[in-house]
Amino acid sequence: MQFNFNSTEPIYLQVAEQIEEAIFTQTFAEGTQIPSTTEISKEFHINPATVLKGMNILVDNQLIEKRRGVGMFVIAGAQARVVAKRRDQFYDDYVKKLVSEARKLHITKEELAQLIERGFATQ
Amino acid sequence: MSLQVKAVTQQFHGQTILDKLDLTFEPHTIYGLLGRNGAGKSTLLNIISNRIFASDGTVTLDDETLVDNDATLGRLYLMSEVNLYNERTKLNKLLTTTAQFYGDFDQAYAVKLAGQFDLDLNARFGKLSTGYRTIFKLIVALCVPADYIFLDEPVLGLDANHRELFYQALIDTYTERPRTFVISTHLIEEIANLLENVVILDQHKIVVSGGVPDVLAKAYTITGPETDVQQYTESLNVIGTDHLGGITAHYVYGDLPDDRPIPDTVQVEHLDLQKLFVNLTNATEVAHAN
Amino acid sequence: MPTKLRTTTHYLFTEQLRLLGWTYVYLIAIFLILPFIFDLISGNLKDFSLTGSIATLGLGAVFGLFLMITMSLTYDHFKLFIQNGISRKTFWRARILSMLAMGLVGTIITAIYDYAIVVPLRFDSIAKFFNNGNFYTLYIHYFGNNLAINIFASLIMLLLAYILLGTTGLAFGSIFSLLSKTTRRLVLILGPILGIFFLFFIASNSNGHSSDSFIWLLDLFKFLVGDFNNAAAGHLNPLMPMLTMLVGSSIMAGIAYFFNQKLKVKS
Repeated sequence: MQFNFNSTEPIYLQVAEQIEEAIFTQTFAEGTQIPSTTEISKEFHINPATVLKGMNILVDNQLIEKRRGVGMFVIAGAQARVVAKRRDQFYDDYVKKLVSEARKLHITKEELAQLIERGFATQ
Repeated sequence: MSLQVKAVTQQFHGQTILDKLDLTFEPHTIYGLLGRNGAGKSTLLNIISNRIFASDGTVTLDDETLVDNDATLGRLYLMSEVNLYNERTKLNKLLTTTAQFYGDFDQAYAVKLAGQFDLDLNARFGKLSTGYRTIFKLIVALCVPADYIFLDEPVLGLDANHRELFYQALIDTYTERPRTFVISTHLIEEIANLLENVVILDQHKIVVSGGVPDVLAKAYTITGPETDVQQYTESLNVIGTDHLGGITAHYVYGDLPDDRPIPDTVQVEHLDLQKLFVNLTNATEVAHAN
Repeated sequence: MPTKLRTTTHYLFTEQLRLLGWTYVYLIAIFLILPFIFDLISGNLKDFSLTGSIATLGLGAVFGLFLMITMSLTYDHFKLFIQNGISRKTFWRARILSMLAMGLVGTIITAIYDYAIVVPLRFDSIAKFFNNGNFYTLYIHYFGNNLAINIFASLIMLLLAYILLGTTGLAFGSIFSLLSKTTRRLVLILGPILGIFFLFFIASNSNGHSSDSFIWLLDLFKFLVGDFNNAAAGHLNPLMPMLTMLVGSSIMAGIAYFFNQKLKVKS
């Protein structure tokens, strides 16, 4: 697991995001155990309460579950749930920004569509 | 259930060192006590631990005084920059003595930590380097059974590896047995994420006190062209400014007004703890924290 | 006894016992072994008297000095105790208790030294010991001639003297640890000088002039040691000096408490 912390967002949200990202990329496969609060806390010098707060967001979103006395595990179907969520947010997170930047650069709707075509063709 | 500092004032030769401080330290919480040199941190910690006397005000632990009281004094431990151990005494003896007075001292963990830090417990305290004196005092602080542990400059003289070891040991022992740690250090970046609460002392007063996320939620950087930034931050609590070419940054501590639109040319971001601290405590700036 | 008081007392007491051991080791080394080696080297071994040297070691007087000095050690202990969550009050109580216990130890040591070593080596009998230069000489006849009673009374007096020395050390140590380094040095240098001047002053003034204004001081002293109406030596009242020392010790302990409560960590 690789955490990249920046300074502008609350740490507990970043913890949740980083674990979610790892579930999305299947670094943490479904059904497997994720690092414990203490492990994450020790590795990145984050207050255990803060880490727990981040984990609880993922528990609420039904991505991970607590198995008493063992630890936290990725729930079956968690990755699909992350995908669904990110699809929902795709318009807000990417399209809006894309259009706004295109406007600043005077790129027309047609030109933008062409660029998207090109992107799909080359990658 | 808490340690309370009420209206504590300290004057020395007509100079005010602490000016009517009010503070509460809750159980099981990691605090950062930040302040520049001479802000009065060590004085505050010395008053709390009854090593010196306040000119005015009270300090209580669960509503019982900490002045001349074995029962409450035995529930806290202050690891200070000043060395109170006899230079000629061997570390082993000091551990035994501490165990006698505090009871329930975690001797096994102390020995384990000494091994990790490469500290020879047969050495005499006076023979240790600054770094190893810090390490020894840290080990004692992490192993005493007290409920409130105050660490004044806990990484003084420690190299990066030893600091890493300390932070890990701190989290280990805190997870194992939650208790309150109050950490006073200048290396803010290294502990920023470890803290649950933060207290910032400046000019003998408390300028910030609260949960780290809440405090940082109110700390902003407003960047953009000078006039736009100035217009937006008009009458806000600007704690510092930076200029780079035509770009101006204003650092604001406090809530942003809901009714004032943010200009397109202006960017709003949050400050991190270190940046907030530096701006709040810069002597050249007239800083007023809400 | 509360746990912390017991622990603190135990700590101080064992520390003092250890120091006492070393003090006696040094004493023997300096006054017994060194003279022996010196005589050996200089070829005057026949001048060296082992029994004589042992009998003049003066363990009792040395103990009094030892107790006063060790009881005056304040700041180092205070530092350690406040670091370990021990209050000033407990520190003071523990020092008093430790001092009482040490006084008892000292009395026993001195008794054994006096009656098992000094008396057989230097005096033929205990009665002669009492009559020759022992402080109890002044009081020897007050309780009659019962040896046991006199030994007991002399030991009580010795114990009280140790306690007075101990509390005096305690009081001065407590005051001293509140002074800054410079003030402390100043007092250490000026104190004895002024004291000597004062003594000379009294001596030169009272010399031959019995009607002098300092006579009251002498009278007070006589009263305190039990010399009422110029009693003959041996007939002084031993209860009076006991009371004097008891009151003196209490005053010293009170002074010590007052200043002990003001102790603080120097940065």
